[in-house]
Amino acid sequence: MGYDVAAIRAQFPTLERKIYGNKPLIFLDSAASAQKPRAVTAAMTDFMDTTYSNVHRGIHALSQEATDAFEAVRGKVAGFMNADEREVVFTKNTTEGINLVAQSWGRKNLSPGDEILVTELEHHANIVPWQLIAEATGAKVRAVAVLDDGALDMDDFHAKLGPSTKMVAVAYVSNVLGTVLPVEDIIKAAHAQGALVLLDASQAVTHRRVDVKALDVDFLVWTGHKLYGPTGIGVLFGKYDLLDAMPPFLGGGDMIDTVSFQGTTFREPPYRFEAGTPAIVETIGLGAAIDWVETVGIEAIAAHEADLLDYAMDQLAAANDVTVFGTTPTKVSVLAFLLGDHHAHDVGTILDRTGVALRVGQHCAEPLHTRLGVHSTVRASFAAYNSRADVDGLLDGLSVCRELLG
Amino acid sequence: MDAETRTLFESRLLSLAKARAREGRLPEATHTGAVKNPFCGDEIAVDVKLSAQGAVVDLGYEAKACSLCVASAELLSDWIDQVYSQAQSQEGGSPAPLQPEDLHALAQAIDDVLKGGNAPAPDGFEALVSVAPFRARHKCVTLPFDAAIKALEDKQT
Repeated sequence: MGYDVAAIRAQFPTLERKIYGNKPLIFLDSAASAQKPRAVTAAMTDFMDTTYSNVHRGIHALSQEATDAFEAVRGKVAGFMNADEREVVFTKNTTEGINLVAQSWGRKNLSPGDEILVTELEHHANIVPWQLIAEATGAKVRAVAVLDDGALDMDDFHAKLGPSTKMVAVAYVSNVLGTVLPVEDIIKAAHAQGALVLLDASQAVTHRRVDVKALDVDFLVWTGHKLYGPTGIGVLFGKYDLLDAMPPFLGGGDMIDTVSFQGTTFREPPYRFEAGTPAIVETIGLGAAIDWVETVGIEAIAAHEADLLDYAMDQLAAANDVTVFGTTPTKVSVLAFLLGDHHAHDVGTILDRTGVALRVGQHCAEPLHTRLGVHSTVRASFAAYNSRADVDGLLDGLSVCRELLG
Repeated sequence: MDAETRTLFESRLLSLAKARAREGRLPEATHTGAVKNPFCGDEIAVDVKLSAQGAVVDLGYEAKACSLCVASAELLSDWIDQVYSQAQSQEGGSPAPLQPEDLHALAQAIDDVLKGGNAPAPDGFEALVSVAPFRARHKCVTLPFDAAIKALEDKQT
């Protein structure tokens, strides 16, 4: 049987909502945060109703069960991206994962004159943490240019990559353009220069199989809430030897071996980087989300989303007043555009009132918008539960925008 | 389309924003303030000219912003112009009555209108009532006022 989008949609209660009276919700904002299937909320509720306790610190049965369930998710996450369990650090979100690497690895390894290479298309979360550590260490942040079609300028990348480059921190997939970066080439070239690579895979894990071993990537970060899981739980993958050589990011309980006023010693990774009580219930939810994605099949989801993207791109191309940003062949279902010369917020407000939920603005990627020469964009993003009818709803909404905005 | 949206986008706000008739910096500005809405990236710079007696006599602006922000700046600039003109036409001509604190009071009144307060919109700003149901757009309207107040709080240029 083919991809049954109706059966998938039925698992997401939010999508049954009507807004502004009786308008069906057309949710095209999954790149910001995806809706949650019942399997995720049920797993979290069940855990709280039956097993909830703190983890890693109790002698009683409930704590041991909770610890087992919590650590089982670590194994699930490891399997999901082909990592070793010891290489999976639970974080709050992608932003925290990048800050962790920037502060922990960066403070130990960066010196004046060193360079951190990012790109013009990064989310602010993959720019600002590097700027902060660069300021603290005397290192420098450089940005690789983006071409007009949204592809990375690989000539510029090779020109800027050099012996001074210590870290290459790039998005796997652009959160605005949907561009899939040639990360395999980037990683090989960076390693040849002795630089490490961090991939921001927030927009990648939702659209494609990510294999950290095949990529040979050093660090990779993503967040649960874009993968149909809850907020408050993210993942940092790091090669074990790298993690093991890094000092703690945050200090507190659960990350120590011994504490004394003569000196404190720390646990091995990943626990060294998980100070304090973790987001236990959210971690359980993330495990359920991974189960859900694997049951549907990430490849099946990707193929479905590709069909929606093609359909939407064709329809928008037929309208001569829509400018799409990001037109590379390697593009996932994230679609930024402008309608005529209308401000994205005006378009977004009207679309909202037609039932279409999407994002407008700069999508935490101001440098990219500056590069594109636009102030802001409208961004539609398609997920496992979207249908061609949702795309049609967007197109109908744009017709209303034309009518009202002139 | 629902009535609220039609009212908003069929109001004079859109035509004001399209015309941008009053946009422009003031060469003789005494105070300047620029603000940005981090939510959307919209930016506006407002120039204010104070008289020797400290009264507001002119306001100019330049914006990279949405229609509601630009329309709001147009209304504000027009309002200051009208208040100043009325003052000038009074017997004796000057001083202009508009003091910086009047601008603060106006900003507060606009804020109350957006939040659905019972007080009527100040004269000249009636069109902004149509923005009230669109909570995510309130900041668009208040941004020019924020810039004007920032200008007045800043040192003289």
